[in-house]
Formats: sequence, C-alpha cells, structure tokens
Amino acid sequence: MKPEDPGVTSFTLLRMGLRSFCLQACWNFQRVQNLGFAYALAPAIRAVESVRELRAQALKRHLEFFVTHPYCASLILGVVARLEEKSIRERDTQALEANRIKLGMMGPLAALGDSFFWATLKPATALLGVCVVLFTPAGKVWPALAGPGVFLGLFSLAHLSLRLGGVFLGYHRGLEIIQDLRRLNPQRWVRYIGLFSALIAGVAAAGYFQLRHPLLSNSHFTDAGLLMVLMVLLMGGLRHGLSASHLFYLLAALGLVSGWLGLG
Amino acid sequence: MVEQVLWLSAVGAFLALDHSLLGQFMISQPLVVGAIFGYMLGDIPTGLFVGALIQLIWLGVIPVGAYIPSDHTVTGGITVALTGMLTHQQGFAFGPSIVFALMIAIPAGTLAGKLDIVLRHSVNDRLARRAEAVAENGRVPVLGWYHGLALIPPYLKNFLIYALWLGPVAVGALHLFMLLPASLVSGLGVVFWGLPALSFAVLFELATRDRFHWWTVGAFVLGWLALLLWPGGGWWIFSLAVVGAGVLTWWRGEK
Repeated sequence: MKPEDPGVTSFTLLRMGLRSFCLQACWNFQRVQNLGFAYALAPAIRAVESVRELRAQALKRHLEFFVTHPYCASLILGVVARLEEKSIRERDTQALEANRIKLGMMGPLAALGDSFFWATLKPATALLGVCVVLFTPAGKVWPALAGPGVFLGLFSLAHLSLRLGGVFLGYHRGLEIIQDLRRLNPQRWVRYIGLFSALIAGVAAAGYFQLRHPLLSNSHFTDAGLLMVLMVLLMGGLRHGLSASHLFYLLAALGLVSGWLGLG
Repeated sequence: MVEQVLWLSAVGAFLALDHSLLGQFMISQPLVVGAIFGYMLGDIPTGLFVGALIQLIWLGVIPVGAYIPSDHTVTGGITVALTGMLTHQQGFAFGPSIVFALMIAIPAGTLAGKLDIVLRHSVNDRLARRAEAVAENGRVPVLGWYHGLALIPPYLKNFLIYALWLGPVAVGALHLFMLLPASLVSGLGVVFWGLPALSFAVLFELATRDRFHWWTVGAFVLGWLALLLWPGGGWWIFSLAVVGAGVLTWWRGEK
C-alpha cells in the first residue's frame, strides 16, 4: 500500500456493512462464520493491500474459526479493518493482533446480541405487532397490516442501525468501542424492554381472553376462566422442559379425545 | 392450483433464507409470512391471524450459538396456505382447519431444521474448505462465489419441502380431513379454543424467566377490569396500555 492511497473509505465500509448481511450464508460446523467474515472483510483487504500474495495471506488469516451474533459482527469488522489498515501501512505485527482482538471480541458480543436482540427485542416487537393484529376491529385489513409493519419497523430500526453503523463505529473508534459499549449499558436496556413487554403481555392476554377475535366465534367454549386454568397447566409443561410443539400435539390429542367422547 | 403451489413454494423458500442464512431482516417471521401468503391467497385477514397465533406460540425459541431450531418460517407458511385451502377452497370451518393445518405443518418445520443441519455438515463444510484453498491463491472474487453458492442448497431444500407439503401432502390431508367424523372435527375446534392459552403460556413463561411475572399478572388484572368496565374499548385500552407500560418502564428504570 502506498502512503498516498486512500485506504479504507466510507464506500468500503458501506460495502462491508452490506456484505455482513450474508455473514451466515456458509455457516459450517468446523469454523462457523469464517467464510462470511472473510467475505465481508474482503473490500477492506483489497483497499489496503495491493500485493496479491499478501492479500491472500490476510484473507487466509481471517478464515479461521469465527462465531458471534450476526448483528454485532459489524462492530468487529470495523475494528479489524482499522487494525489491518494500520498494520499494512506501518508494516508491523498488528495483523496478528487483529486476529487476537477479533477472537476476544466475538464471545462477549455474541452474548450481548443473543440477550438483547433474540431474547428481548425480537419478542417485544413481535408481541406489539401481534397485538395490533389481534386488537384491530374485524374487517379492517389495512390497520391490521400495521402489525407486521410495527414489528419490522421497530426491529429494523435497531438492527439496521447497528449493522450498517457498527462498521463505521468500529472503524473510527477502534478498540475504544468496548468502552463505548460498556458506557451504553445494554443490560439496562434489556431490563427496560423486558419489563415493557411483560406489561404488554399481561394486557394482551386479558384482552384476547375476554374480547375473542371474530374468527374465533366458531369455537366451542367462551369461558375465559377455563382458558386461564389451561394456560397455567401449559406453563407447567413448559417449565418441565416440554416444547411448544410438544404441548400443541398434547393439546391436539386431548381435543380429539374430548371430541370422540362427545365433550367438544 | 399447481401454479399457485409453485409460486407459494418459490416465495416461501426465499423468505425462509432470511431465517438464519441471509439478511435476518425478520421477513421470515410467521407474522410477516402470514401477511404475504394471505395476500397471495387472496385472504389477508386469515393470513395475518394465523401468522399472529404461530408467532406467539414460538416466540420463546431463539437460535443461540450453534443451536438450529425447527424452521417456524416453513411451519407458518405451510399452515397459512393449508388453512386457506381448507377454508376458502373447500369451505371448512376456520377453527378446526387451522389446527389440522398446524398438525400437518409442524413436521415440515422440523424436517427443514434437521435438513439444515445435514446441509451445513455436508455442503457448507466442503465449500468452506475449498474457499480456504482459493483464498491461498488470492482469488478474492471467487471467495464470494463460494459464499453465494452455499445459499442454493437451502433454497432448493425449502422449495421442495413447500412443494411437497402444499402438493401431495395437502391433497392427502384434504382427503383425510373430509373423512374425519364430525365428533373429531368438533374436537379440533376445542383445540383451537385452547390455542390462545398455549400462546400466552409461552408469553408468561418468558416474563417469568426475566422475573417480571408479577408485573404481567398485574397488567393482566388491570386489563381485565378495564375491559369489563369498557367492553367495546379494546383498541383504546391497548393503546393506553402501551403508553402506560412505556411510562412505567421509564419510571422504574429511573429509580
């Protein structure tokens, strides 16, 4: 790389961000997201390394084992692009440092992504979307379509900001990003969103059990109290390790037996 | 009919890639798939309602680390399509139809998840090894080709599962459903009545995991009372609940 070369530009970072959407395309059991990471990092390597053999070496280094939360990978991509650029410009040993830092960041970011995105934000936004569908008066299709819209809109706001902005943030802030994340205190947001969705879940259950959806008018019982008893029993099943699919089939078997006995 | 099945399979297989391989924009979630399939089948309300129910039932399933869960995208898509076929095209009652469709569709989602594991072991491991050999030669664009190639087998797998379940399996299921005695169809109606209980059991369990279950119970009681006092105000009560939950969350957080 010549000193006058622009190196990693905003366009390069944008390309990396967009490529990170395919991080898991070749998810494999041996090195998990390695190919996706190398594919996303390739524009940065190409921008800073003009010698083909050295470019190959850099890419090969990033084909090692890599696994993290797919949304948080962009932060690591940004940091690694910065370190690779620095090492190639200065011809020092920071390239190996980049690999060590990558490995060090992937675990905590995987835990953060799993708890924030999968276990908290996704259920909360999906629940809001479902509530919009269930509470919309019958026959109003367009307002009901706002349900998927609310879900996708709210969730995308968070994950697209991180996935596209994360590469820029990681590149410009470098290792400072770890302190930045600590200051942001994601666990606090997990608690906030968890409490919010717990409250909405309560109201949604009350509304759904009492109002009933127009499509449910053919059902055989309307006694909400019975539904609550059933709900508590099913919760017991979930707590004893039965999956929702198992419980559904259990419910189906009970329903069919009750129908056969003439109780339906 | 065949054309419709092929279209649904093509779109469903594409949406299923979003589940874990491409994008993860959440367009593969049952709520969204329900709306899209509902539109394609000419019955958006049914698609939305079925999608919402399925979304709630599997809300707690998360793909952490190397764990590959059943593909609920495939389950949701097939349930919506089969329900549409049973209710619209055959004129069966909605409740028993959705339960029957779900009973047929869950194994498809499980099969899609299991085949995903097989493909990752067989195809992806091999592609990744070849990509490493290619990278040694510095052929960067070829790396991208290998990466993209990995998307073709899962797409074909999902397409075939959709086509199989919406084609021969659906035909067999329709015949089976027509042979069911009225008492068993009535039993399926009972299951439909109980589905919200399963959905909200999952929700309460999630709240318990986060130790917010008493807040959920409190909101449930308040919501229940509000709806008793104002029976027609469901939408307004829900809107107020969203605002109230937001304020309460902020207040608790500030404390």
